[in-house]
Amino acid sequence: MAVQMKTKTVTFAEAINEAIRLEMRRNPRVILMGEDVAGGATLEHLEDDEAWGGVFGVTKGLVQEFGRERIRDTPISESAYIGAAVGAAATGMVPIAELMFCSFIGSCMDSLLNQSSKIRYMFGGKASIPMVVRTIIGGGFRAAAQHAQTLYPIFAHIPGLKVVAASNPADAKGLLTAALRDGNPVIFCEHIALYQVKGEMPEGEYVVPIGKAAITREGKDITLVGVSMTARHALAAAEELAKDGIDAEVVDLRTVSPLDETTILNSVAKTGRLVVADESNPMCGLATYIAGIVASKGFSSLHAPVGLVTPPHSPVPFSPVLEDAYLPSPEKIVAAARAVSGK
Amino acid sequence: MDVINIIMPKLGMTMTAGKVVRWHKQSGDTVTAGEPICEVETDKLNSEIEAEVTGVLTVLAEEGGELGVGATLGQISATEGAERKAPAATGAEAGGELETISANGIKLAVQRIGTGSPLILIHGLASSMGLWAWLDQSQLEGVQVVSYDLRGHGASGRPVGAHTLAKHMTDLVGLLAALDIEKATFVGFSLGGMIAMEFAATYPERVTSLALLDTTASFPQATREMFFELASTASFNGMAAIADTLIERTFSAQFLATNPKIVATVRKGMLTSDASSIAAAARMVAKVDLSPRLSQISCPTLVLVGANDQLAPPELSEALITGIQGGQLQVIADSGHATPVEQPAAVTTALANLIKSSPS
Repeated sequence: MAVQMKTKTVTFAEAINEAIRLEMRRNPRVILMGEDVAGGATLEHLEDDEAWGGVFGVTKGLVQEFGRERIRDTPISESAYIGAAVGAAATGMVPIAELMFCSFIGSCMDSLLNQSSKIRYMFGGKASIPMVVRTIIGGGFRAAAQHAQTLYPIFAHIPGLKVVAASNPADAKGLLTAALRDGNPVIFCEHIALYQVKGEMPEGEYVVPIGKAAITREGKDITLVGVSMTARHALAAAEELAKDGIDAEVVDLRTVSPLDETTILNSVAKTGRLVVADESNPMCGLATYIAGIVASKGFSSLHAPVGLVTPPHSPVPFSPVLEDAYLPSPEKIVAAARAVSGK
Repeated sequence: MDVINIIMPKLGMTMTAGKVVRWHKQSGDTVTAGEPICEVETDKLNSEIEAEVTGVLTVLAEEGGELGVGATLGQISATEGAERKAPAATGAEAGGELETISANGIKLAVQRIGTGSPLILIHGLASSMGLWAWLDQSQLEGVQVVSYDLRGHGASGRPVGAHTLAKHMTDLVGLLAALDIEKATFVGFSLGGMIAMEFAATYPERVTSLALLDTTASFPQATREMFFELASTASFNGMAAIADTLIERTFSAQFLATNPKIVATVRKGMLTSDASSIAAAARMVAKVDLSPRLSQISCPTLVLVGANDQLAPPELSEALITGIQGGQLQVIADSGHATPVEQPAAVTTALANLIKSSPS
């Protein structure tokens, strides 16, 4: 962003709330739908002005401003309301459909895989599906196998879907605004453990471009690539590595698909070493994909094999000890970086 | 330079006169805001009078002299830019008592001072009855001043749920029933003004006259959006996240610079408020549109606004005058939004005039 905008400290959740609010004011065709996204507020018999507003309160306060025509609580049927969102988008609305946990994609896969992502292509551009699916990814809350997955590789695998995942409030607001203006189906991934994380966020309207990674720390010895929570872990790991004289460059992908290969390859060309940290499972996952791209297009840059920090090929455990062992962490990134650096 | 009168305070409901026992300072001495300067005595008690402002004292009443309530004992020539003393923590100094009554299923904190025809004071968003603490009771003769905390504010109950004008109205109706008040003069500040307008339009036979301070029938779109954002920020991050913004909008820059202690007291009150209730009240304010109701207000009405009111600028008060038949507009110079705090003398005089000129 070239212009210095006034910023305020907000949580990740608040940044998302603000992006939705500002875009709903700007564009009367934007609507929000999902399970309890409005909650009990404005309903006499369920009266609580602050009720719900999303399972984690992310969309609190919106129904009071925009009313129940635009902020719609849906039945507990993903296939019904994600399908309805696709239909609404096809007729000119810009729906934000909340898929409460990405695990629930199982219930609405056809709408996303075969409809939303294919309609523009199959209709030769005569129809478009401007919609945003907001969904929770990530673990760490002992929510167990069906509520802690990170399934963006499944979304990213589908041509026609864009997939974004911010690691901080400023990017969250900018990316969501970009998604709402993109004119295509965008999956907006929100890491469950990021909602209360605070950061500086510019006030007013602004866009963070989809498909552009950010260098959040410049360095010369090794490239650490992360997205969402692992982008934050990579920064923490870089601080630790600096103590050992390893100067790490951190790439925050911000967008999973379309992947910013250029930024990754340029960074690896500079440093010669790469560690990718990712919370999705490694089998056909994001980290393994990036390693393959770099091995294919950036082989001559590499001084060492690519280090991968991912969970094992396993469901997310419920046991706290096992979940902690499952998840990537700054310590695991540091260990991988040392191994790749031969230190 | 302001000259402030030191008057004999009304120290009890039945007090009519008091004796000056002793002056602690002489004419020509500089006194500091809050410093005790004179001891007075009634048949029931002795009390200290504190200097309202920092400045130079002029003694007018002799020691041993007896004067009626409201009479001038002396004067202070206020030092340029001097800060005023913060109001008393309780109403005891002004002779009132804090009561709690039940109305409309919730507890409302009420304070009643004096005897006579009822004057109902209704405060604004994120405020409390403390808003009115600087009004000079002695100027309001033959008046019982009734101030209360709105639901979700001050010491009143904080019920869960959206705020609506209808609910605030029912609270007020219940309050009046509990206090056995049939007809009164209603004074509303900001949000309180909206409640007062709705009451006057709904129960015209119960309203002797109406004073609308720094308020409006509806806010412009940008201000409405600001209230929604304040509500959200308060929901997510508590009152601490919006206190500064509220204070900036409430007071003029001049007042903020010269009265840090009063501002600090107001901020403290905001920080102890319930964020959910304030958010609900802000959302209500964002949605209010009383324009269609103005033609139903038929009582004598005073519309008063601070010249530098950023939140409800004078244009909005002018719109009220257009809508309310027989309304009188008064613009208070050198004041931001919070005229009862920034220019209490002018507000008190305006209210006293309203009461005098209205049929009982």
